Amino acid sequence: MTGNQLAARRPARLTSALPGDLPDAAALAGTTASVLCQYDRDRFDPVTLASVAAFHTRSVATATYHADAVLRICRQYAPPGVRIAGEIDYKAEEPLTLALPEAVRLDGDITVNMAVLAFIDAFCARMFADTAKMLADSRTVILQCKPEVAAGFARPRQTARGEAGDRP
Amino acid sequence: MSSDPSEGQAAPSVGAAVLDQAFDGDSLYALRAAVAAHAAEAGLSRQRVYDVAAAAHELAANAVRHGAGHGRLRLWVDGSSLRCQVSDDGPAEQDETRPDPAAWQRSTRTDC
Repeated sequence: MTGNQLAARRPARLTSALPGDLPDAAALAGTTASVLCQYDRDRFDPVTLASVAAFHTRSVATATYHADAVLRICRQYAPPGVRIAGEIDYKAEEPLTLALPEAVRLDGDITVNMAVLAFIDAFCARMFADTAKMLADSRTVILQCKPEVAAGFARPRQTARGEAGDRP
Repeated sequence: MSSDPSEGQAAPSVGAAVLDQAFDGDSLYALRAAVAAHAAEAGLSRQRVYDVAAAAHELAANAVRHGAGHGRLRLWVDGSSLRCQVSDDGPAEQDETRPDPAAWQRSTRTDC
């Protein structure tokens, strides 16, 4: 079952479209059903989301490895991989150590969605490179990021890991 | 990027610092933001602004992780150049690849 996709990207129509789209929760009581909600909550403001919370009687949160004011790391389901938003540096080693191996255990290519990532340091860039080296030749790590961020991946080995040798 | 330990902790000699900011492991985000803002104000392209902020971050992170745990960043304009100095008062790790490690001072400094 799916909702009406037409309004999924238009916040103004959310309140009018959503109630009629959703299956009747009462009718589904006691049964097993799979429902795919096609509304992206990231596109709606908190007030709008709160106004339709009564119609959305179930919610599913994606696996989140880290979330604070600067950085959010969570699993991405389609295409499979990891989504990273904000700014990331060496202090995120622990959540990345959880997120990347889990992505490796998925089938096929791994997409690292960094479309809204504003900064990545050499340490983390190198973690991605190390992950890519672990994969079989038939699999690929796909990095989606802004051009200025992409340039940082060309030089992770120059300063990554902070070994003793990089200090004067 | 270059380093000149012979200058020690000397203040920038050309032009007044447009940014003089202390940092530690919890303030690298703010440091990057400040460097990027001043680099943009100096007229650098979007890519170069990112590059300068990234270079400053790597130097500062190095001071945090392998130096004193904190340090100071200075940014100033030198003619048509934007110069950045990161310093900390931590012990310099001995690097055997250097021809004369004894010449390195306790205080270290790296410019970019």
